[in-house]
Amino acid sequence: MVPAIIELQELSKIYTMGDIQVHALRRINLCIEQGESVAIMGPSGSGKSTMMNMLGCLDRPSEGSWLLDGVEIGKMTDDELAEIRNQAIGFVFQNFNLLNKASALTNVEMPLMYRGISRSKRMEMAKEALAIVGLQDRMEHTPMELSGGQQQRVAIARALVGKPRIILADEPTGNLDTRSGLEVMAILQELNAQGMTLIMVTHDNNIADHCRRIVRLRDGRIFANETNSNWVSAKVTLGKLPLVAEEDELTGAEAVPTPLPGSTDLSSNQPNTK
Amino acid sequence: MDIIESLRLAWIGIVTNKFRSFLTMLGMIIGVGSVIGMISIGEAGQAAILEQISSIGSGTITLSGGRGQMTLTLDLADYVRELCPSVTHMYPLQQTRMSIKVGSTTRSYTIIGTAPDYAAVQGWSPAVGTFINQSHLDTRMMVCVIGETIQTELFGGRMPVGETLRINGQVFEIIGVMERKGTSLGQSMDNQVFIPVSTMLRLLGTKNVQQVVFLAPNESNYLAAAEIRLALRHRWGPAAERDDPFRITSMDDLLETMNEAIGTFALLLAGIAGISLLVGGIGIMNIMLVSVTERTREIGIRKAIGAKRKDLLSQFLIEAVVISLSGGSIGLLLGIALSNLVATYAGWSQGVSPRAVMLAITFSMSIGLFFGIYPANKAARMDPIEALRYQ
Ligand SMILES: Nc1ncnc2c1ncn2[C@@H]1O[C@H](COP(=O)(O)OP(=O)(O)OP(=O)(O)O)[C@@H](O)[C@H]1O
Ligand SMILES: [Mg+2]
Repeated sequence: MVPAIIELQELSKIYTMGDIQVHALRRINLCIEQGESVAIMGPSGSGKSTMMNMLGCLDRPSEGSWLLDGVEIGKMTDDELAEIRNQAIGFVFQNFNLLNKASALTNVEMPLMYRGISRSKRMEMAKEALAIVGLQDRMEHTPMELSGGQQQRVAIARALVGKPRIILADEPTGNLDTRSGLEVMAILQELNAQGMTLIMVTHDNNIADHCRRIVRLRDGRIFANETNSNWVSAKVTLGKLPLVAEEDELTGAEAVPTPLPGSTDLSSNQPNTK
Repeated sequence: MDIIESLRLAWIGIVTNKFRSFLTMLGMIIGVGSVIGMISIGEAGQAAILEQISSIGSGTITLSGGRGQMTLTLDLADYVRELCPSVTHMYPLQQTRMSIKVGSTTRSYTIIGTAPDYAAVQGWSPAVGTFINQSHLDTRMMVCVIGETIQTELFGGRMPVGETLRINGQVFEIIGVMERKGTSLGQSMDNQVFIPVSTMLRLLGTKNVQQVVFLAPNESNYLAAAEIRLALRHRWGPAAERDDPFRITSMDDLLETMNEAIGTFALLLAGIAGISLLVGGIGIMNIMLVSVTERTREIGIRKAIGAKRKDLLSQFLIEAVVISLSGGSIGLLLGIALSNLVATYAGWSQGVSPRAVMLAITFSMSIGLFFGIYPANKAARMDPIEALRYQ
């Protein structure tokens, strides 16, 4: 049996604001194994982001335990959490969170700097990561000189450059059009296929269908946790998109047919890695 | 993350906000510049003034004054000297301006009536010829020793020893030309004429001497002055005690008083400059705080991807130190320029005080550290989620 990389036991998160207590997460139990792909869905305010921040070691649980590879996260110091964020986790945000004044390359090499890797080695790895997301010829551009989709790809390159075991993405396609969103999903699926555990939040069923499992939250509780029977490959979907002129991405994006009829077949005869 | 990386990050932070960094530096530039300028100018000025005063004669005691029955005469000077064992040298000083005529040229110069000890105490003797000796004094000889400027002005630079000149119409033989001495306390020493004080008193038709200078090198100024005062009492009896018309000034006392006064003044200048340095430091803290707030999102991003507390602490701290040190260095150059300018203008030998340079560098660095630590700590302690949410 594959060991669980992530294990949440009776995990709760309570925000206290004056007299009011907000139960953002209530007694969550969840197990995710190495190499899985999981979509977290739910209405606004259901606690998706709270859970992602918890999994990303940006925040600590109020109650319960959160075990990463069997190690309790809640008891770690801030610096130990920083180290885990740096080594084990790659985080992709809805609003990209790039340094606007720095080049794509500088943004991507940044996590490695905090790992103490030499500058030349960092540059090499960052260039590799940017090539994976198809931005090898945009390395010196600052985020302001890139499209939203390109910015999110820079953010993904930054998340993957340190070869983490877990990629966390909080609505990674939320600010993108359909085509850019699919491109981002194709990259994330590729990373997952290579063995990285993928956990992402989305509101969009079509995006969620790129994951093997869907966890649904409501009022801070898990009310559904099931295998996704409609798994689709973003690469295949992209291939089936009507060919659009590069300069007219928006029209093309709107023309994406969803959901795709062949998607169910694909999922059944193409198992996940491991 | 090592120090080189921190320096690189700090540097990037500084050049990304050039104008703001410059404004921050300005406080340090002005602060350090004025500290160095003020301390250097203060110290150099002090040194220059003290050097001039002590060149007039350290260890000397000047007796002057006198009134009615109790007047200062050559006899009294000899009497005091006899009674004071610690006095090794003594010379009267009688100064006045008189016209001097050589050939058809007439000019006015300072004439000094004095005694042989003048040359010994001042450590200043004729370059050519001899100074006034005891027999000149005893016999009120009409001889003079002239300064170098007078040799140039009245004799066109030729050797005048053996020639004569007229002082107030009286013929004097030139027996020597003094060595070149330059200026002391802003006055040229080389345009004076020395004649025996006895001759001068006869010329002026008086017995009263303006000043008598005693040298007591082996005794403290204080004791020597007391000895002299005692001798005066001995000479005049109780009358001198009731209504003492004499003034006794010791050069060491004067030197000390001057030193203290100038020192206080220099301290005041340095204090004012130090306050501007402090203001510069507060400016750094202010701007670093603004910078930390402005860069909250950057801090959140760095934390989210794994920056530890010490990484952010060192990034912002080094940024503050780099700003204050660069500001300090520019200020240093400015201060050096300023104090050299003043030193050149005033003709002082000492320019920049090395002490001030050390002080300024240490100060600007510690100010960067001191005023940078609070903002840097603020950055390091930020909560990553809250920082990321900041707009
Ligand atoms: N820092 C906070 N302080 C207080 N309450 C908070 C804080 N962060 C989140 N909450 C509350 O916790 C609940 C869950 O918020 P969360 O951001 O996880 O929702 P979400 O599922 O991500 O919603 P959305 O789809 O709109 O992004 C909400 O009721 C929210 O108001
Ligand atoms: Mg959210």
